[in-house]
Amino acid sequence: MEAVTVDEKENVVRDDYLNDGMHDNTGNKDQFVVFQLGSEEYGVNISQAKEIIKPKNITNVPNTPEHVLGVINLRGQIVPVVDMKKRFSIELDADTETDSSRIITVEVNDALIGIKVDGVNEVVWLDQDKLEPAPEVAGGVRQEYLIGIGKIEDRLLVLVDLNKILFEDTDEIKN
Amino acid sequence: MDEQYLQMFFDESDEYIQVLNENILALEQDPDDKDVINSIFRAAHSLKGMAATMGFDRLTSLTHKLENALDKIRNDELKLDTEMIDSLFAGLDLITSIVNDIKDSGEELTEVQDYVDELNEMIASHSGEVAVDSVISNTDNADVSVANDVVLDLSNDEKEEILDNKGETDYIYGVLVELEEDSMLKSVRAYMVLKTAAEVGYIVKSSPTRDEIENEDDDNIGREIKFVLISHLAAEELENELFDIIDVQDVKIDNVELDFSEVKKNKAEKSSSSKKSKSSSNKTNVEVSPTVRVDISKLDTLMNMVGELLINKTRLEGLKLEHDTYNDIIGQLDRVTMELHHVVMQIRMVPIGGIFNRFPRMIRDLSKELDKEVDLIIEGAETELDRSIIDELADPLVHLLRNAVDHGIEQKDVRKEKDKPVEGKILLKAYQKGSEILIEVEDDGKGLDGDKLAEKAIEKGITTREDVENMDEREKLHFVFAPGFSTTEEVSDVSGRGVGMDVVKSVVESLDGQIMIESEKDIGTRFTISLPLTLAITQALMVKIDDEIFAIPLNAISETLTITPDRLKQVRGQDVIVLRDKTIPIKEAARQLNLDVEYGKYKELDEIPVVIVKTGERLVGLVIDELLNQQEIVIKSLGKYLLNVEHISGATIVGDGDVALILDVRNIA
Repeated sequence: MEAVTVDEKENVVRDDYLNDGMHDNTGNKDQFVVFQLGSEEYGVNISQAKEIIKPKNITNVPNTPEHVLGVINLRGQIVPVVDMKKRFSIELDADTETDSSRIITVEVNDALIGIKVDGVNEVVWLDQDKLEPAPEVAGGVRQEYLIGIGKIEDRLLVLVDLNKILFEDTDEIKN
Repeated sequence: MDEQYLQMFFDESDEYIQVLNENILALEQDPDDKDVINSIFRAAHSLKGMAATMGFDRLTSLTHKLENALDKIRNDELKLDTEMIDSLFAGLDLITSIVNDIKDSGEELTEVQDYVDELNEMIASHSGEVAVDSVISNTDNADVSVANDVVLDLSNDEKEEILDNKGETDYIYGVLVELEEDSMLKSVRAYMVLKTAAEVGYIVKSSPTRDEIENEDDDNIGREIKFVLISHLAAEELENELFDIIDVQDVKIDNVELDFSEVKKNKAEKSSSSKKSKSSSNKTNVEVSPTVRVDISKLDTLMNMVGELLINKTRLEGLKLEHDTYNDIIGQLDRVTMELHHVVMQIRMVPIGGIFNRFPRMIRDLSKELDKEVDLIIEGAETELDRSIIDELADPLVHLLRNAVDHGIEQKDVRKEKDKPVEGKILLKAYQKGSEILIEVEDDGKGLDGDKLAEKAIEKGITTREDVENMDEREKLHFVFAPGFSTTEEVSDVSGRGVGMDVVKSVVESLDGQIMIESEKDIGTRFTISLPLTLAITQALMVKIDDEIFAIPLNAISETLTITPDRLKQVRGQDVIVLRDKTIPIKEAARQLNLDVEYGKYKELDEIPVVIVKTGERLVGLVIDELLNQQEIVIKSLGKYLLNVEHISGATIVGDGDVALILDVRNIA
């Protein structure tokens, strides 16, 4: 396993790591952006992640679900931001924003969406054989919203299915 | 396959399909117009070439077949009647559906064989009926007077051509040149003959034609070359010129006397009628105009950047630095950004003709199907609108036009009884009025009956009898826009399944527009759609609600005022104010938006800021926290993830780079 830390100053994750020769063409490895929510670690496929930005002024949008924090201005484009902790109904420190809080912009269903997380830890390569099928619940998220579990030594990454999490009906994701 | 070429293929095939559509329609009006046939032929030919290059076999064989048929029509070998035209349209529809197949799935799914068989039969049954003498025969009957042989076949078009090219002192000759029987290079000689003739005059027509000479084998070129020539040379001089060519055995030249009176008359009529049709129907040019294709998303990006530039310019202006060159730079920047903005807006504007031009075909098919006669008059096709609006507008217009043909225009016998012309008229008209674009769909049909509509609405439970009693005619007419309302008794294929008009209304409103109806019994009905010139930029009033800034588009605002609490009255538990004899309900914006604040606090204020907004026909007073300023805003969508947020129509970026939401006041009640 190779781990790459995210350079805090260079926000763009993808280009850096796709162009440095470390990209794997054999297809049995995938790169994941690892982010933190509360005490759990989660991962999204890097092909969906666009960039990582520090939280900026969010304009609240009325008449939207509670987990939609609002919209931000990202270089002239209006980008909605979803609070992943609220989406996963993780209660602890729900509203605290720390220095390590980040917004990962992801492209899902042709829509650019920001997901707010407690922190972005690193970008990792995961072998296909290190992926395990999703259990019924992991990290407070039910099976159908998960792609699987990634194992990195003694750590467990909850790999989430953003498509379902963001676009499927707001039914309880939590068990 | 290369994505880029595929896109090009789609763009171009769409254009060619449009050209074919328009020209086949034109051909039906005037089957003798050779220009039209040639345009059709060219478009079919280009389409075939593209399809073959891209490897779409079905499309290639289909267009090839059509091209053959067209070629025969062009050469007057095929009789052109309604049946034939229908068949051409059917072929065109197949082409369209194959192109759509490819767009959707990348494969050709539509079967073409049945049609090809049908077309073959059609060609077989329609050829041979054309009088053979209209084709110049290639017989070597040299005894017949040349002039009679060739000139008798001159069509009116050709006579016109002669008239156009003949100078005062020019002669018109019928010429027959006979080559030596054992000439080895007949095609070369024949070519030389025509070339020489062309040098001393103008060849109106020839047999064989230049193309035939260039493309046919020697064996197929006879010994004779016949042509009609306009020339300033005397007959003898011409004869000498022609005899100078090798292998020329004999030259016969006859003077041709033509009766041009009819042609002249025709021509005068034609030019005046073509002028008329131009001014009244303003048909968009069927030729494909040279343009640069730009991905619409690139224009959106450009628009975004200009928006950013505008915002930053505003921020810079806000600095108000004390420096000589500062004001200079700001002035320059202001001018450049404004110009840039203007140009980008211009680029996004496209003529509405782009969607209008598909309607003549639709109306033709529809009126045939319903056995009605309908003349569609299109005006103002050149009127320009923002691209994003135009794309949305096609479906509502289709619906309105279909309704006009189906429900508006009466059956022929009914029209006769009413002493109306059998042919119904539908006027589709677009024009600009101030900062709005108006689009009218008007028919001279039976009109709408407000009372009948009201009865129906009561029947369907859309309204109550008491409500109807207080309504004027206009309000009653508006029932057609109510969801679940259909006006004809029986549901037809063409229109009216009870869905539609309500959708038309909601689409128009989603474009920030409005739709109105006027109607008079037996005179007709007119729908008028009014739309903003552009969706991208608008004037808005900025207001503060619960510490957030919101923008309200100016076109939704009637006025703003500050009221004192004692002007608030209560009607059935609802706060209202009376403004110039009108009772206007007062609503709290924060409450409408379900904001997390304590409601009703405004009643304790000494001065309450109120924005009177227009929601459809009604006025509503919206209580906000603070009136800020009026400014130009760049409208941005909230994107796919936040579709249809209640009372929010979009967002804009304000001076400090933050996002302000745009209020949608239409459904505030």
